[in-house]
Amino acid sequence: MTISSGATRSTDLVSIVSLTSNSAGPVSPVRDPSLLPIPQLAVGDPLANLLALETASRSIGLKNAIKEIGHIRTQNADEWRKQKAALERAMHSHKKGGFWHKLGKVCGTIAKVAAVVASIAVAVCSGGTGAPLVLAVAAACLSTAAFAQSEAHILEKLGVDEKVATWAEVGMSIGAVALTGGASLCSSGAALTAVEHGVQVGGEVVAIGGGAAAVGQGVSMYEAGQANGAEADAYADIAKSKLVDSHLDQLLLTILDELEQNEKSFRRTVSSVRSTTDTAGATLLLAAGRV
Amino acid sequence: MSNNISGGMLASPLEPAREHEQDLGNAGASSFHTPVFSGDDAVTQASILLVQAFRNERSEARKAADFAEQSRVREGEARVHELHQKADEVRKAGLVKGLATAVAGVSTIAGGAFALSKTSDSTAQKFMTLGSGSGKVFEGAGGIVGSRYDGNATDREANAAAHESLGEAARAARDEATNQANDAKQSAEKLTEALKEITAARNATVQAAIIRA
Repeated sequence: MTISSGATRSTDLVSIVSLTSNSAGPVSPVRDPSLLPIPQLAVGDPLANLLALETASRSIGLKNAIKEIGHIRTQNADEWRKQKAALERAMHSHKKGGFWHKLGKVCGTIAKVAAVVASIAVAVCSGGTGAPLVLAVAAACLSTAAFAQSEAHILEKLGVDEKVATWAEVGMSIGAVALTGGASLCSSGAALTAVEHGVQVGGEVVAIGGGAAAVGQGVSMYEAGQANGAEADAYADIAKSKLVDSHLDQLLLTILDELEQNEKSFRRTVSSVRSTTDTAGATLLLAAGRV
Repeated sequence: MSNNISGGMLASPLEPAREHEQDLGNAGASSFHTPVFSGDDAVTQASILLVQAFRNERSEARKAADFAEQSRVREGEARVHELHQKADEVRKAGLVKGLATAVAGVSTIAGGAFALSKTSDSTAQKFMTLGSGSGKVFEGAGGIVGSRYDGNATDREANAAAHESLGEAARAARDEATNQANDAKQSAEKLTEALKEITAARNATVQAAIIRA
């Protein structure tokens, strides 16, 4: 009737039932009619077997808990590695996005300056007098104002909403182009002087340069958008990894809680068995005294 | 006092032993076999009921904590999904705005190149204006469409923040349920300890009574 430590719980339960039913107590009329106690707990004693079962159960529970905790720690380490990798990706994307953002800003400034210069060139070469000149000057003013707004954010500083200011800037840019077109359509078509021709050619060259800068700005905006998206993805991955990490922590706490509870239960059982044994011993001593 | 003690001794688990003793004709020695606290007295039954109640409470609290944890995980996953969606919207916005700006630049270059190739100043001016004008239109259109994607990205971020708030609420609910489970566990433990002390005191009393008998 020995109980192996590797026995399963169900087997243990069967064993203890059989042990309880087979063991003869100290008051058994058949085997021991005497009131004298059995001096110590025998191998077949139910309390001793209960203690052995509890010890075996505790050992199995402890092994399982250690195994699970080890598994969780491994997963935690994996999540840490994922977080580190995602953080590195986020930093790399942030740097990349910052570079393209700066480059795009420089290209955008060049394109806007070119647009202003081209607009002024058109004003100079508009034909000299009358409506074309007025339209061309107005276009140059609007183009300059749009440039000043984009660089200095004047409207925002005056308390205008950011969205409204953005639309105002777009409106000024388009208005400048429309007025320039109007000036071109209204121009008399008279031949330009050599200086005016030179200014116009210069304006055209500047406009081409501005266009190239705009292409560069577009590419930079695309690249910055991709980098920002990658950065946002990396932070989302970090958030996911942290979520898994916190869930694993919660599982760990639950396992530790169960372990603590099992340990307390085991100690209570041991204490109860000891108390019961003491009481039984004291009572049997009393019985012996009376006999 | 004697009646109380004997009441505690008439525990059902010990009844077979008493029968054996009667068979042996040793009825006077029956007191020796009842030192263990029985489960039939009112204090024990009340204690058992209370412990069961605390255990049930703990079990329910643990279930509530598990449910809250599952909710927290679900909200966290939804938040992550929204953050990925936001990343997609940011990428789309960059693509649209960048493409529109690049097309605007190409248009301006084309206008300028045509203007340079023309001998007539007036025609050249018209081409240049056309190029830069169409470029501005492309840029504006790209800005409008791109702003929609930016708005979507902001919406996704707001959704993610909402899921984060719900996740925090679930975490608070989980912690509260866990505390409740711990309280129930501690109460059950205290009650068990108290019952143990009562049992020990009663056993000592029984033994004292036996000595005096």
